[in-house]
Amino acid sequence: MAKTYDYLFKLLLIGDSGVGKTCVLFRFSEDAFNSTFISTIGIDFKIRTIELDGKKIKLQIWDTAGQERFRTITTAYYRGAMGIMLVYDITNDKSFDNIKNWIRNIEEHASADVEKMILGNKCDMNDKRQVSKDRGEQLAIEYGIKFMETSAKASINVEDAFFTLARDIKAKMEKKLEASHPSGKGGGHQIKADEPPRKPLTSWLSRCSIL
Amino acid sequence: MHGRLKVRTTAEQQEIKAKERAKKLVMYKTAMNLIFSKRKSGELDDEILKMTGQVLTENPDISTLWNIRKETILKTKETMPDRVDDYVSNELALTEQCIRVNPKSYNSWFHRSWILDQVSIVDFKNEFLLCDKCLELDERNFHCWDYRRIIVQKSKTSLENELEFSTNKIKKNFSNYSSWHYRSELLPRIYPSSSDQSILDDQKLAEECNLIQNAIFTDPNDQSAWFYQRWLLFNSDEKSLKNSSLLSTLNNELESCQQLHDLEPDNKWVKLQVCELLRRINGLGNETEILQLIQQLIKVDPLRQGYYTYLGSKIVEENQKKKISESS
Amino acid sequence: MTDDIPSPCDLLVIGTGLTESIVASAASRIGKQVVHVDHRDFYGSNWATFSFNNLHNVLGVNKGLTECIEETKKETYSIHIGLNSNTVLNVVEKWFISDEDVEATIDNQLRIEETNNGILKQTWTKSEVLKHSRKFNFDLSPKLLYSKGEMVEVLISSGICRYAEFKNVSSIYTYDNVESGLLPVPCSRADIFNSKDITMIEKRLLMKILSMCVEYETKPEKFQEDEMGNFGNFLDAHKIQGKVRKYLIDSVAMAKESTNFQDAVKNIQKFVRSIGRYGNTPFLWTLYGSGELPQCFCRCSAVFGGVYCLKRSTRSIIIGSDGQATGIMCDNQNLKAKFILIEDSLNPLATIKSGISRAILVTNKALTSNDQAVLINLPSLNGKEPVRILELSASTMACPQGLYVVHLITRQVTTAIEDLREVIDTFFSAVESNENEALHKPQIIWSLHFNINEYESYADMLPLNLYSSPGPNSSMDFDNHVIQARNIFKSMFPDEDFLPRVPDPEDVILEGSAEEVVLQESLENQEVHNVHE
Repeated sequence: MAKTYDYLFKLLLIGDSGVGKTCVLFRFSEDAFNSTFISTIGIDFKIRTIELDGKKIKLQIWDTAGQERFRTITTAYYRGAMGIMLVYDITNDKSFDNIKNWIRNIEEHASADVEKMILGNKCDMNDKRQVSKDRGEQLAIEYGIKFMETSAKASINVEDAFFTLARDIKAKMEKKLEASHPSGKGGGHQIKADEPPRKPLTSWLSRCSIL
Repeated sequence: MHGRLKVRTTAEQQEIKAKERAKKLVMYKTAMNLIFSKRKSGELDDEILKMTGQVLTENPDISTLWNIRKETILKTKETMPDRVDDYVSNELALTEQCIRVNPKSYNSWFHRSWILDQVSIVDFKNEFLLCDKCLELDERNFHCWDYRRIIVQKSKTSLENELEFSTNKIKKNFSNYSSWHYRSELLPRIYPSSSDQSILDDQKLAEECNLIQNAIFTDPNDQSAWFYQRWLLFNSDEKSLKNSSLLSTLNNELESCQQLHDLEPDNKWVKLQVCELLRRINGLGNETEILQLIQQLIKVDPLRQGYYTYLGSKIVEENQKKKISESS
Repeated sequence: MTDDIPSPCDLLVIGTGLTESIVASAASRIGKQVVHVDHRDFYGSNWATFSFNNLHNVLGVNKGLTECIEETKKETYSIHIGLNSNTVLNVVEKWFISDEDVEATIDNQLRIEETNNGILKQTWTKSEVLKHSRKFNFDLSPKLLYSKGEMVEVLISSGICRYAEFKNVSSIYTYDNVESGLLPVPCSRADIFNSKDITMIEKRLLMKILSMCVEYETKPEKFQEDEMGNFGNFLDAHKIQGKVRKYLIDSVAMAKESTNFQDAVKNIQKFVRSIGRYGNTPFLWTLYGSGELPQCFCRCSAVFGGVYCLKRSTRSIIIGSDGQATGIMCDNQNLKAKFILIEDSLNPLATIKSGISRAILVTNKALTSNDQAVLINLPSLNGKEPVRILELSASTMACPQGLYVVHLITRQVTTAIEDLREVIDTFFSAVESNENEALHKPQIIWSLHFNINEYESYADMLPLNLYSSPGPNSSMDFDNHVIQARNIFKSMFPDEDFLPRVPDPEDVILEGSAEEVVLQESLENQEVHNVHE
């Protein structure tokens, strides 16, 4: 089988409970939405592979597992993240106010050069809007990061948002490779049950047998 | 109920896989038809390269498609000689990808070797990197070892470099017939004995004996180590045994082997080696001991009784010939 | 967030240490509602990993908490939890380098010295180190994972391995008293083959013993006599002396002469079977530190519905008239639960059983060549306790490039400073002098000594539905904690699976999604076909 991807990007979703992070995730990975979707149970991460400039990019997008409810997201969550989507709900002022707290968290726990993006979700619900698009843009400019209003329900801008974030990460990474810096993760390896079918060279009883 | 998470069942998973397979089959059939019709009409062009490339990436073992590519390359050499380099790098990229898919595909390795002959300038560093990587994934991939021999020859790489490579491989895993075999090919060319070109010089022989002893003592069940030792010690003919240094080497080895034999009395390989050493050193004088060992071998390894019996009788026959020639 | 914590729940866990986090994840996994609290503002309890900056948070966490007085109702009484209890104590922190000079130097950014060899060496100052605070990850309780041990198997089967990364421990050493130096322990066959420290015959003997032990269960007849005795006798019987004996006792079996033969064999099996799975030695180290693991289990619990609240102080456990625990008082909330699991360091009915003496050093050079992590087992000598040393390089994310973090672990006899003084003086130097260059000793830049208490609690002293979760002990790896967690889980939920396989995230979809509809239709068509046939 041909190689299934050229790069793997770990992305995180962060934001208050109820802003629609999981819906954004499912809209992007499954192109699905459901309004009766209550709380996040059983969702760890989703994968979607996209193509950018001829390269296949596997996006591994992690959800908070509800730990944002009491602001108890583990520091381990941030490890190795290359991009973070900060999500607030345009119909909920408090969730917008909390974005700066989340940014502070990211500064504390994530790597210094992680790509960030702010999403103002539920933009299809203009009649209940509490946060103007302007305010969102202003906040983003203040932190020097990109901003988009999205709607997981109406499928507005979700594709765009992830593609943009991925493109920015790719550009940064390629620049780093040129300057020959080691990229991304600490270079640890993941343990898996199904190891690649290598012959166990250093395994205890392996021998070269001819007869 | 809507909005609930569910997990796909096995039936659903299989269904998805079946659909993917069906799609692939259709694509394959279409591609092959097109390729053959183009070839028939002599259209050996970029399109045919693209199509054959796509099919080969999924299945590198279709020889005809590789041959079509060879035909196309040869045609390009004639019609567009200044563009050959581009085509060659495509072939290199394609064979590399195919080797990743199936590291033991005869076609991919052969095609790559063929391609190297089509150009005057080859990036051998890259070729060695590819070999290194493949051998890391599978140390016993003979396609890769063969390919390495080819590029060593083409690039006129120093044999000493290759010896170092073999040493490193053995340090990582001494249980590898290919690594020892490679070593056995290189050593006589680098360190031949002054008296007899086919055997190693004394110092190198001593070093290698020491090296292989480590392997034998660490794992006396490892066949590749014994084979190498046999090559080291038994390669020369009767005449060289008159050379006292070789004789003393054999005696040293016998002593070690006997020590190992004491620790591992049930190991057939040690026994056999002691036998062969006794035979080489003084087959006639040691005949009693040798035949005793043969009997022990038959007990310890009854599956090969026939061989040991044959070996015993062969040694007896040799000894009789010696007795006759000595008395005459 | 002023959300209230849900109540009642199935399992209430107090403390986010490893053992209790494993139980929390197992319970959530089978659909139990878990509420998991901790009075600290970080995860991991006495297993946590911290940077320089949160060091003081972690160690000074037992601030005086105001005792609250509750009314005890007639049918209930409460067990008071003293959050003031000191589990981590005798803390001594020491800097061996000075602060930056106030006067301007020629090169203000970094002071770089040339040594005699002409190699540029960076001189670290205290403020320089603190500037990189985030790059340091210090474990309170550093432990390794056997590649084929309980912890790795549980991580794989539960899928939690996806939340963390690991590094190989690249080499293992023991100590040669005769030659007063570190002796590398050959682990793989290749190591044994390449070793210049032992003779050919010793190589054979070592391999022989290891193979025998690995095949112990298949050939029990060979061992009948040995089983009666101890490990030392077994080695005597097979004429194992010198370095090979050292390797086997100190590093492979991790035992003493007097260790029971069967226990030693079990350890040897675990060691040998773990070699080669991921690397040359049997051990893995968690990238970013052992404190990642409790967090990983907590995340797993959260994914399956566990509710996580830090900075919530549990004051007391409320016991009902039937002697069962009904819940806890957490800040001002009464949280009810069917089962309660409390970390043993907070369990008021637990007693101190023993202690661990610890030191963490930041040094400027590795003890031996180390590009990942190195384990050194110093055997017991002259009646002293054995000491374990774990040296971590920057590639394990324990510290910035050019520095090393060294963990020393031993059983507590007096205090950490006293218990580890000799070992530290043997291997490290505190004073910069030319003498050290000659001796090649690494220089200590900063050190931290402390003790950790180990507790024991007897199940029969607790209400049936109240469990005590064991904290870190002096063992080298996590396996007995996994086993203890499993036992607690099985006691609570005897008929349930412990952390069964999770589905592939790609197979988790929303019901009613477009893709699912198409899929269902296609399956239905197939069924129709089958019926017609």
